[in-house]
Amino acid sequence: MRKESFRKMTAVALAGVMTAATLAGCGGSAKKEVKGGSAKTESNAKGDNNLRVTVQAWMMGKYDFEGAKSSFEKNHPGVTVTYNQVDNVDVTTSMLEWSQGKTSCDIAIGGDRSQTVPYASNDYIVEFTDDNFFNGDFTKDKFYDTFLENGNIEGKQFMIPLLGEVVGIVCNIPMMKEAGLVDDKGEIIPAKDWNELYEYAKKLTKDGQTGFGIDWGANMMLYTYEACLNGVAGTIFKDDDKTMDFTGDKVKGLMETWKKLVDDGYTTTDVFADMDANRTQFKSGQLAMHLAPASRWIEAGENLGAENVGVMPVPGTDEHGSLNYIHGMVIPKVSKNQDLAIQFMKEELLKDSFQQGAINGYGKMSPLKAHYDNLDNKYWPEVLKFTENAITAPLYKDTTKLDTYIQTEVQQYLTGAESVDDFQTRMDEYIGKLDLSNGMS
Amino acid sequence: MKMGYRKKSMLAGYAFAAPGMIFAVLYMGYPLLRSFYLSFTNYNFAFDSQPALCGLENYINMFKDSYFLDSFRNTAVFTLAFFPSLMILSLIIALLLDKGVKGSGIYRTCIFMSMVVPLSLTGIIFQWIFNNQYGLLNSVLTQIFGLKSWTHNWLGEGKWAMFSIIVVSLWKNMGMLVIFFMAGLANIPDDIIEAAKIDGSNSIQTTFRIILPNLKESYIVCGVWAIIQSVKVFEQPFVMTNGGPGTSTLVLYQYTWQNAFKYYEMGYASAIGYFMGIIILILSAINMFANRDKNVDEVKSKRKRKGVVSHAE
Repeated sequence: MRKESFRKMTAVALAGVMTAATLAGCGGSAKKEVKGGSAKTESNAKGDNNLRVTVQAWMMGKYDFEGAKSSFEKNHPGVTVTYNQVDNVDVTTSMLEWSQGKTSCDIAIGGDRSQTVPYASNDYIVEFTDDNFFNGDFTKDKFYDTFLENGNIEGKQFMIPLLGEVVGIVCNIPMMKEAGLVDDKGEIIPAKDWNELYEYAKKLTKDGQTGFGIDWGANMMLYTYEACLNGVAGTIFKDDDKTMDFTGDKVKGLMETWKKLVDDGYTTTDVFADMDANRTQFKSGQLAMHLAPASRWIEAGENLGAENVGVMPVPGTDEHGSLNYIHGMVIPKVSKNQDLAIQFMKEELLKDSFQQGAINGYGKMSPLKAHYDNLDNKYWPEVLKFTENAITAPLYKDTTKLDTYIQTEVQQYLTGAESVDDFQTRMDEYIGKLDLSNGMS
Repeated sequence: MKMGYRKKSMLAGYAFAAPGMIFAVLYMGYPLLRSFYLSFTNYNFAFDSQPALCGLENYINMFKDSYFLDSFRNTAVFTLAFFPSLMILSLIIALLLDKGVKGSGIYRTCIFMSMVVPLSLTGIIFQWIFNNQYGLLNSVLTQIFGLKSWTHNWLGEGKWAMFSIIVVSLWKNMGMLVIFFMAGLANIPDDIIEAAKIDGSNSIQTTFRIILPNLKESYIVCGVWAIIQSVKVFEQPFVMTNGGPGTSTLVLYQYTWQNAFKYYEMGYASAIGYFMGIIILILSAINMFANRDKNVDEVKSKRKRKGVVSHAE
């Protein structure tokens, strides 16, 4: 009898503990929605000296974040820097946290303003002003305008660029030389227009070697289209200067050239399934030209030899500018370490030695002009030329929908499932239905 | 007043079940109810502060949305091809393994090994295998078998992309169903099979007249599981083709994910999610009805309708 009572009590106690644990795990303090307007900018005096930085995992391999951490901790005794690696920018998680007045980071690195708009419209992130950031060695004129623009929404800077990318054509120089496409100095002769580029691709395609790879993958489709269109047309917009253009002869000409490249076998569509297919092929020496972020030119040097890789502008972008994008840094307003976060960004993440490693090793462009003074590679002036004039992607509330539509329709067109007229008509219809406001109101 | 034994026993049962029930209510019940409510609202998680009721607008707009219709069609095609193939192939393999052929231990290991590989990793590996330029499959077909005409852009052409996804899904899911069927086969009493053999039944007759009809419970379980895997397919098309080329492999689950986590349209995504749930329920109900235990009167009336005369009558 005693044994049975003991067993029952143990069972009840166990059930009670499990219930309590479940409830404790699920529950939390009473949630108050913290709108940014009421959240004050906290001074560092209230922080806990543990600076938490959320970083995308791929960045850890390309930048010396551990070095930055050691240096900052040495210069600021008592301060600890902790990194939280994530796979990708996770707007949903950040929104959930910050709306509840909590944050798991003091600096969130990754993405550009299209991912930042939801935060900014809900007043969850700090605005960088002349007072709190753009002063001393970090005044706005020290930055590339095009990179800063990628973190600017309605004239307010909500994101500071950590690195920038610009779209260009990365080339395998020995292959280009064999095809007679380099000059006497051994430098690539840039293609003047898409007809010439088609001829280049034709000359460069042979057994075991693809002439040209265009980044039509999920991560780059919209950027590729914008860069190419800006090159041929000098703008990516219709006459209203706001709606992206999918109609007109320039677009038709561009799309038809792309189709011809695919149909004639000078370009592959492997990127539809594997967005890194062209990158892999280029680095393994099976692709002659690769329309991609220009940083691939430095990155491929590790496999092919730095002297064997060069870059040329997408036709027309040397005159009209290419397209650039960034990976930037934001500070949540609920962070209690805002001042410390800004110090870390300025002292470590934007310092010369931190940026130089990534510039020289991977071609990741620094947002600061001073970091380009002593670079070795002879193609940097070319890249900087089409960066300075580069445009930024338009900021639409429905950018993610546009991104999906253009991927789908380009794939349909290039696989022969629809005509170029269908493509233009459908894309024009789609963009007509989208919300082209920036999402701030 | 002292509690009776039965009441005490009941209370103890509730106490043990309580944590699980609370978990189920909080993590399954609440999200179900909340998403049901959201399916009747317009709610962009990133930009709207509150959901706004819109009645059946999401459900109506679904059928005007070309992407939804494409994903619905693709899911139906996948289900129609995948479900019967999975059931039949798994059953055949289970029957062969149950026979205890030589080396069945190795075959069993090979079949079950696919289950331990994560789905996303499976997608990445097969993406490489099916690659048009440097993929293993095209290389083997060309260089070893000399069948260059059999090579295709497996993931870059619409119909071949769906075919590739079906093949990968079969490879991945067969192991589970083989286990279920083998468990069902193990439950068939040996006496029935021996009796059939004594009556002169050969192995084919035994299989079709004794073994297969006795696997009814397995059909129900496997059928429901396979239906869910069919309608809820996501990782393979997401990783291997991202729904492309075009929308040729875009499935309902991925389209729901896109609306929820790419566009933040929680209302519309919830509506699509519920639509999928209804489809699964209907298909599962059909499966259970088809495999129900028929009573004697039902069988007799069916035979009468067909004009079959029973000697027993």
